[in-house]
Amino acid sequence: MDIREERALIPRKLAEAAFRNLWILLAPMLLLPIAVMFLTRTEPTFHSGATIWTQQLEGVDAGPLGANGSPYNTAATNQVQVLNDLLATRTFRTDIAIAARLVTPASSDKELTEAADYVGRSISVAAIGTNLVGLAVATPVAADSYAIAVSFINAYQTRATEESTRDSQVRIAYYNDQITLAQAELDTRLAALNTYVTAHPTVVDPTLRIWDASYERLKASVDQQTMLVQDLTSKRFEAELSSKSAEGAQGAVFMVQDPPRLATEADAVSVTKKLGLPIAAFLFGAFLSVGFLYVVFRLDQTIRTQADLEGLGVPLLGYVPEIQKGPGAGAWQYTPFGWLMQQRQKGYARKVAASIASIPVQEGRM
Amino acid sequence: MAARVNPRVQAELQEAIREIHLIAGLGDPRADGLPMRSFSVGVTSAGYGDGKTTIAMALASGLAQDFGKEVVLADLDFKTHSVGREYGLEGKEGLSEVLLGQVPLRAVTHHHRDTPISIITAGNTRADSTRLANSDRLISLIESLKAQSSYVVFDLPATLHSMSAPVLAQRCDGVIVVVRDGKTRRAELDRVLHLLRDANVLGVVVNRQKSSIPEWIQRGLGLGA
Repeated sequence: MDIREERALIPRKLAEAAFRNLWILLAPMLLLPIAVMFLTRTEPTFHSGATIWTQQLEGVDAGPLGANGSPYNTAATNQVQVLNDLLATRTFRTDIAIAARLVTPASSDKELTEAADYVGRSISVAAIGTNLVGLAVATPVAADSYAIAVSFINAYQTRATEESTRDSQVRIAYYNDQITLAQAELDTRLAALNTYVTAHPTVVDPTLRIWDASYERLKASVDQQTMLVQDLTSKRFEAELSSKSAEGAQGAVFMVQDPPRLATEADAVSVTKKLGLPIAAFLFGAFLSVGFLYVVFRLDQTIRTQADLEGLGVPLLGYVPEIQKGPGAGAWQYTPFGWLMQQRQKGYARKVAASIASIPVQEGRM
Repeated sequence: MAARVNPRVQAELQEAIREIHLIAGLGDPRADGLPMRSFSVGVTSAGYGDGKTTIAMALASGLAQDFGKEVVLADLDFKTHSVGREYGLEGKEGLSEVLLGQVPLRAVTHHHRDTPISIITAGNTRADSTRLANSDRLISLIESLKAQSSYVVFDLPATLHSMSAPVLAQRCDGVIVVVRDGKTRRAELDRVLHLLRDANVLGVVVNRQKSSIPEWIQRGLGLGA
C-alpha cells in the first residue's frame, strides 16, 4: 500500500474518480431538484370561500333546486348534489363567468367556453355538516376568486328562484286546465240535477221526506265533482302561493352564513410540495451519482497508485507530476478551460526536463 | 534561446526524479567500496505518449545535475527520433548510422558546453530497428558509451509498439517502465512486464500524475497532498 494511502479515509483512486467526474456527479443532484421544482411549480393561488346553511323546511316548497332531494341524505348532501349538477352544465358556468365579468355575453364561443372551464376548475362544493355546505373558489387572481364565489351564490339563488317560479307556473297552468275541465263537468252534472229536480219537485220537498234513488245518485255525482273542483282549486292556490313566495322560500332554505371575502394573501404552498419533492429529487440524484461513481471506480483499471501495482512484482519508483505551464492545475481544471490550458502546454514537459541540467532545447548548439 | 520554464515546476520535477534515483538505487555507492562503475538504464513505456522521452531527458539531466558525472542520453527509438527533435538535432546522424558502421560514435555524440551531458540521436537511417537491436555492434556500442560516461540513459521504444524494445531492454543494466497516470491499464503493464521478463526492470514510474482533488480536501481525507 502506498505510504500516502495508509492513513487515508478513502482510497485515493476513489477520491480522484469523484473529483475528476465532479460535474457529472453534481449534475443529477442539481438538475433533478430544479426539474422537479419546475414541473411541480404552482402559480400563487387565491382562495375565496363561503359557508351556506341549507335545510329541508316542512311546508316550504324550495323548488326543484332545493335541498329536499333524497330523504335518505342530509340537506347538505342533497344541496351539494344539486350544486354539482348545476356546475356540470356549461350554461350555468357561463352565467357565473359573465356575472363575474370574466367575459361578456358578446364574447366569442371560444372565450365563453374557456371562461366556463375556468369557472368549473376553480369551484368546489362539499358538505361540511348535516346542513352546512362549503364553497371554495381558488384562482390565480384574488379578484376572480371573490367574483366567482359571489356570482356562484347569486347565480344559484337566481336559478333556484326562477326554477321554483317556473315550476309553480307550470303547476298553475296545469291546475287551471284541470279546473276548467272539472268545472265543465260539474256544470253538466248540476244541469242534469236541476233538470231532474224540475221534473220531480217532490224530491227536494223536505216535508215529504221522499227518498229518490236517481236524485240521490245525481246529487252524489255533483258533490263528488264539486269536491274535485275544490281540491284542484286548492292546489292551484298552493301553486300560486309557491310562485309568489319562491324568492322568500329560497332564502329560507339556502342561507349564506359566511359570505365570500376578497383574499389578501395567496394560499400557502405545502411544505411537502415546496421542500419535500426537491429534497427527494436531490436524494435520488445523489443515489444516481453514487451509483455512477461506483461503476466508474470499479471499471477504472488504469494505473494510478501503488495499490494498482500489487501482484505485478515490480516496485513503484515514484510519481512524476503533470507538468503544467499555466493555471491548469488550479480552479481552471474544473472548468472547460482546463482542457484548453492543457492543449497549449504540449512539449512544455520536455523543456522542463531538459532545463534541469540547464540545457536549452530546440537550439541545436551542443 | 533558452526555453523559459517555471522554476517551481522545474524544482517539482527535479525532486520527483531524485526520488526515482533514490529508490532505483542509481546513485548508490558500490558495497565493495570500489568506484561505481558505469550504469546504463533504459526508459520504456507501454504506449506512445506516456512520457518515456520526458522521463529519460529528466533522468539524464537530473543525474548530470545531482552527481556531476558524465551522462549520455541516447535515443534508441528509431521510429520517433524524439530526443533529437527536442534538442534541435533533428536530421543529424545518430546511433543508427553508428550501428550500420557509417560513422564513428564520436561523430554523433553532441557534448554540451556547460553541463556534463551528451546527446546522441537515433539517426536518420531507415533501417530495421529489430535488426539493429539484435546486432552485436549494439552491445559493443553500449559498452563504449558506458566507458566514456558514468550513466547512459536510453530512450527505448514503446514496448507494446515495438518488439525491439524487449531486446534493447535486455542490453541495459536496468529498465524503468513509465506508465501514464489514468491511461495505462494494468493489463497493458502486465503485458509489458511479461515482454521485459528477461530484462532487469528497476521499477515503474507513474508519469503525469495529476490530482483533481483540491489540496485542502486531500489533507482532510489524509491523502497526503
